[in-house]
Amino acid sequence: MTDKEFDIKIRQKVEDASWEVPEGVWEGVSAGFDKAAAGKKRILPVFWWRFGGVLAAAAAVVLAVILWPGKKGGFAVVEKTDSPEIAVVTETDPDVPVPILTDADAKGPEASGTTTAVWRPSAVPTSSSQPIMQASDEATASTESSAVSVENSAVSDNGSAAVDASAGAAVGDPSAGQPVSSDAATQSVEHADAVAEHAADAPAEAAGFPADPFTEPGPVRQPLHVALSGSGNAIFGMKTGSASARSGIQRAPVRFKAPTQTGVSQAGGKVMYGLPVTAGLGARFYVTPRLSLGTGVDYTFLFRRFSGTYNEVALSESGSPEVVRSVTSDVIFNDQHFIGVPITLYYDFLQHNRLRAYVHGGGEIEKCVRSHYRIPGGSEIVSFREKVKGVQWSVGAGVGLSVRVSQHLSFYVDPTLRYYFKGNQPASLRTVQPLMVDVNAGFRFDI
Amino acid sequence: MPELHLISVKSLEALISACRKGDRTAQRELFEALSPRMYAVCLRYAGNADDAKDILQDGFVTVFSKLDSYSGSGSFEGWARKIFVNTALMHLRKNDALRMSDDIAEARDLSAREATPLEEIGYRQLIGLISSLPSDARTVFNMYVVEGYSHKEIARQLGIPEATSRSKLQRARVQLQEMIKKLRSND
Repeated sequence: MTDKEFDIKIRQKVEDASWEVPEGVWEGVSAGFDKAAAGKKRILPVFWWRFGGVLAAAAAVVLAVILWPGKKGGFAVVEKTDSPEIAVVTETDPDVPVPILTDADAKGPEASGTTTAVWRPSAVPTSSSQPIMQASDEATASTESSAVSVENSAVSDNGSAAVDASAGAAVGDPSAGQPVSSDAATQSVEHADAVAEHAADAPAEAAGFPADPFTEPGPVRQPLHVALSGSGNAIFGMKTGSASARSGIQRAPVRFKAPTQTGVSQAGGKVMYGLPVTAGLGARFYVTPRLSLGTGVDYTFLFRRFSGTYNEVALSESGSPEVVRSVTSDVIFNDQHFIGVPITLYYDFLQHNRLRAYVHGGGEIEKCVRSHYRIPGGSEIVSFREKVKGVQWSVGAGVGLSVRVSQHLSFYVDPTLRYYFKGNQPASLRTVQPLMVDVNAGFRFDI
Repeated sequence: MPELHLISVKSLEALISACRKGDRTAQRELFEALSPRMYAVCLRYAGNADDAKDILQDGFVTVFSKLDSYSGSGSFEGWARKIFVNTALMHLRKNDALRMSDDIAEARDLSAREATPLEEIGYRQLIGLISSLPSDARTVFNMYVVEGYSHKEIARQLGIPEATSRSKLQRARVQLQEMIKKLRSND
């Protein structure tokens, strides 16, 4: 009899075998089930608290921007004239919002610096118990959910276009390089036109202007942009869970090798990924009337649920690593937290009345500051935090469009195609599907 | 309640649905239907009745807790059996019963031996013999021969080299063969 024949006979005899169950087992199961159900309820609120925390932080940023006391003062309206004087400045009622640019051809940004806070949360829930999860073997269309995006333009100090130092930008100073009239009765610079046309040529210098005898050059107030935006992710070509097991960090046990360090390994099968959640603060600096550079700080939250094994490895007396504890679970939770710095170039290729269209492209470097596993195994829950080395690089490009729908309201849409490079990062939706589309959309209020 | 393999698919679906809603009566019924076969699984892994009872209990707690993750594709018993095997492995690890011994069994091929009188051995006796194997060899034997895991999967699950899995399996086969022959000769 061969080994195979022996195995087959054994299996045929025992695989469907039954045995009388001892007394008292059901009572133990019933008690244990109640205890496990109580523990499960505690997991979900933690997730919701974290999600709620992100919402609260974003709302706090919005409120802070809205309630931040802006600089008061009159608007300076600059008009072109045919007279020898270069420009006439008329002070207006500070309570009446007046656009700074009266020239229809005036182009360029309202301010030389903007501060942007962007929050891009995940999609709407797909099930009642795990709201932000979707199976890796299902194609998912892009979804939108509420988010908050805050954009705060810089406020310049005075009509001579000295740039507000608090915006951190001193680019595109309209005053530099322009002839300054010694005539004390006039403002020597065409403020709005200079911003649009000469910012590219003029280095950033803060130059003063002769005082206007008819009106005091008050501070020019830039409109404050507050944006509410919704965003979501579209996934191209989902991969199976078995493919995802090969991506990301492969912790012990690695194939054909015993574990040599403590870690979590992913078994084959279905993996559930949560949609990425991102919140950030940024600033945009115009280097020319159409070209601007943006940077800032982003926080991203990634989540997955999978089956696998946690192996705790220690050195034996002989010095070789050995597994001292192993917990296998069908449901392992992994949350990952990234801090990133994006750098993006924007180019406004269309600026016409209510419409502004732009393209943008750039990259981001992110560091995983925390990767945490929760492994429920039987009657215990193991918590493990892994150290992640290296960084996550990504590049992205896209187009954007904003449309002014009313005097104070603009609507914008910013789809971005983003690719995440392979690196020694924990397995996540990014490693399974490195090419993703982010869609940021929302409303921008001018105050 | 009849055993699980005797329940119709529709009845089983209704039972599982009720269990998900927390119906304690339905949970008891599912336990009654599933437990005899699962207890046999636990006995094969445990090595003694007390440990098997603990594994059975913990296994059912996990089954009921994870019932939402059963998608309906594939056999429910197969899904549950996997949970019980994992529970058994966790239990054995906790009790340090999976520490692999250093002795490597000779790779003796059974083909030269005379046919093993397995037909004359009842399944209960066989389960008893399997339970009496050393824990490391017993685990590998159960996973490979009965559950159908590959050596690669066993190696990954237990954190051992694949070669160790093969040698433990062979050792289990040889020992089991000898125990069966001894049992027959004593009869």
